Amino acid sequence: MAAPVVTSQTYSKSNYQPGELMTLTVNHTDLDRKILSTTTTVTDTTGATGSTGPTTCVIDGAASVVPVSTPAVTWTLVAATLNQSVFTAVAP
Amino acid sequence: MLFSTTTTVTDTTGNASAPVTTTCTIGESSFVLGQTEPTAANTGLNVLGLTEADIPAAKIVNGDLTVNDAWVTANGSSPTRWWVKGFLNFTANTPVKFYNSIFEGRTFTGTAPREAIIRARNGSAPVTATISFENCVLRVVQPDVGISTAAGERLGSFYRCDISGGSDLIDYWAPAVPDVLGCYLHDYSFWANDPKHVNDGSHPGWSHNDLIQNSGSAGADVRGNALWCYAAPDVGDVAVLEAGGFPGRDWGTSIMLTPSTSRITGFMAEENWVYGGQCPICLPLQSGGSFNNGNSWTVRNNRHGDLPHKYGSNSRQLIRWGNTMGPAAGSCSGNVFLSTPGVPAALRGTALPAAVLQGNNDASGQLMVRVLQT
Repeated sequence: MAAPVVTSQTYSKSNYQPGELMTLTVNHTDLDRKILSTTTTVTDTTGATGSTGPTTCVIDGAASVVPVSTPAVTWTLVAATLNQSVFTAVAP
Repeated sequence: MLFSTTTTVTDTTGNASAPVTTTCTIGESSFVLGQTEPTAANTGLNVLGLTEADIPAAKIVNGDLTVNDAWVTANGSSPTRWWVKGFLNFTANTPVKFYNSIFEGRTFTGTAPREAIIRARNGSAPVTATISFENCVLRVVQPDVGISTAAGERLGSFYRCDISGGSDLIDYWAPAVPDVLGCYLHDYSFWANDPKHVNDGSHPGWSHNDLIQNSGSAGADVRGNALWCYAAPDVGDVAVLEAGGFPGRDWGTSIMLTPSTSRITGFMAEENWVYGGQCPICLPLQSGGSFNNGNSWTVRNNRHGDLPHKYGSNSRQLIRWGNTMGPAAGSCSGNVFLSTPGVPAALRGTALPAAVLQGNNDASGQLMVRVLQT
């Protein structure tokens, strides 16, 4: 199994003032990461069919994205998609 | 203040990514590392507009200070606004970073009490137990031939510090890998009675002054600093220097790499402002040394504000290294002359020439970036 890769990490600004809200965007990928989509169809004895809408799950998604800063701050996850995590923290 | 974030991603099967680190700055917005030239006005306490009066009485240490585990427990690992009027000896087993503080040694009689104002020589401590400085002033109230400003194998990083006064300013060797970033290094002290150099062939007894001396490291980034390699006026034996062929006090080396304890690999000297000295950036063959090959560096995008003191009648050697030491000629790139009065008009704004081999293509030869200017 491949390890995930942090493809980019950017702050919303290059400079903040103390007390200002910082936003950190982390983009990450994983070669094994896939979305598994399943649709089930049932056919009765008369030939009629019915099917479920697709349901999905993520294979090998990101279990944790952990930013650690110096000086230390508390990063709060505010948004996450399959390949991106967005955090905010207060500039020390 | 430099602010860095390191992020690791772990997937659902427990595999972890390689960590990625990015930085930004907090506070002053006008300083850009590598683009803003450090000066006395934008380093040390001046980064946050502080003065000595902003250091509380309870944090003024009138005498020597040992930063050990007990001190760190009592005062934390990120101490700020301290003034140590003595010699600091770092012996803690965890990393410490001082902010907005002053370190200056003290007066003494006889032999210097310590070899450095900041002594970080705790070889028994973990490699990670380093001492670092940000927005600090490191100076020497009583310079001495035997005192460097900061020395040791447990030195951490220096960011936007004002550093002066020692016979050398920053001395380190492996495992220390200090990054020196955005600092103003200036006014080393010159001595004519250095016992380490009694038998020097050219200037017996003259101190060999370096702003930064690296005697072995894996990595280390010297970036965006102002390197003023001039002896402090009216200090030590500077009159001997001035009368001895260096009226401009432009003796010494800004970045001296001497792989005596181990090889120097992956060293970066970039985006610095370089003034004075005689061969400001140097990696010489070590006589009888064990590491006279396999070293590596990148010297790029530095700005030279004047010509170094000449060798002979006209050889101005800006970057020089032993032919067999390791770096290729192409390891130096993007270095330029500034359009400043100290640079001859014909060279202002031009790129430094490519390195050339002087001497034989063996261990006796030297690669150098030089110009010929009387």
